[in-house]
Amino acid sequence: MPSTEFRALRQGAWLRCQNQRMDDVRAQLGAAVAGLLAAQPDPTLWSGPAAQVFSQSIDELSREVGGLIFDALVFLEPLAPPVT
Amino acid sequence: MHTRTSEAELLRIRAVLIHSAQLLSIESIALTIFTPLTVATLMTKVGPILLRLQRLILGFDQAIFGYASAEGKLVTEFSDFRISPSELAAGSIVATGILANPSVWVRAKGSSQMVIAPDSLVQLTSRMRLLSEANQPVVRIEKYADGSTSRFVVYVPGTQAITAGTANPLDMRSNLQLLAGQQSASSRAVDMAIRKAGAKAGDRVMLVGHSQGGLIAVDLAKRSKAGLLDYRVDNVVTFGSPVGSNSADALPEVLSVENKVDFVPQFDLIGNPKGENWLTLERNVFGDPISAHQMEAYGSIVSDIERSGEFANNSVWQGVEKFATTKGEVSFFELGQRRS
Repeated sequence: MPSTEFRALRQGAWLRCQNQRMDDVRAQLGAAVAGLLAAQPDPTLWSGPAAQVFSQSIDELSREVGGLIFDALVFLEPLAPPVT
Repeated sequence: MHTRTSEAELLRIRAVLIHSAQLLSIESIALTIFTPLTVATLMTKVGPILLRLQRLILGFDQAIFGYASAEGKLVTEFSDFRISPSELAAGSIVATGILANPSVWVRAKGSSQMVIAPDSLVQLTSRMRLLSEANQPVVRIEKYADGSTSRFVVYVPGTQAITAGTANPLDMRSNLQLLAGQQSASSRAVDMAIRKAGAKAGDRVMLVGHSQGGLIAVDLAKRSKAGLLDYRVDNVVTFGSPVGSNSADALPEVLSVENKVDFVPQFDLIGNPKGENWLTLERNVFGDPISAHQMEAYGSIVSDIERSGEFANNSVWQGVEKFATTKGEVSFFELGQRRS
């Protein structure tokens, strides 16, 4: 049976790994927000009613993806470490 | 308002949108160490966002394929966030990447025979019923000469396999993809059959579908109106299909027949749009959930309405009855997909 010290070390490593993965997911969502903001039309190259409606849609979508980063703090909480 | 457009800018935005959608896909967000419940929670949130991104990308595809007349189309496309709950659910499932698109095949079944064009909606419905009751992954295609071009009437049956991964593309996977507004294996196979039957640029097509067949008809009609198909879909007839979340502006003339007791056409929880190009015929034909959805029930609705003469002067109704009026030939094509 593993010692208490070994279990604590393993638990710490597992949590660090989980936290690293969550950071990766949040970074990826952040990159998606940046991507969406970069999709805003350049008004010197595309303007008019369609560009305006599209721009509003992109604002809305980037806010929603941005919201997911905060949601991720809650729904991607680390699970309890494995019981040994 | 002054309008300025650069195709290079549209291409740039389209590429950025595709990159963003890739970043949000489940394949990209590696969630292997999270629980299935966590993954499902994330995907129910990301799925609808991906679905909307896909619609925007489709809007750019349409614009880039033919921008000259697309400004109005773009406004419609980008404003069209009329997404049904079932479409959202299907979008979430599709976003998980479980529903990869298998390759499809089509082969002629038997030889073609002479046929007389259906002269009434009752006759058209009865041909749809015969095909549907055969319960085979087969489409019926009638071809009529029209000067230098041809007219095709294509009958498509509904879902036949409740699982995915069989050789029958009319399965539940195709259903979910179509509900999510995506092209399915069944839809690609029907398009292939229409081309195999000889449809080419300038030819006119009327698509008639029961249940999933109606979803396929609407999918192909939308692609045709966006200029993505060679042939032109002029008319669509659906029997018991949940097609209410589609915009009437994106479609040609549509005649939908719905049994109010049948839960399938109500599946999207959105009534069909009302417009000059969309006629919905509704009646109650009571029965258990299965019989209420079958073509027999739809046959009695159409006979009842035709006898009443209520819509005899409606242009959508007339468009269907007058689509083809000559002698032609009928062929059958079997649809298949690679097993997964």
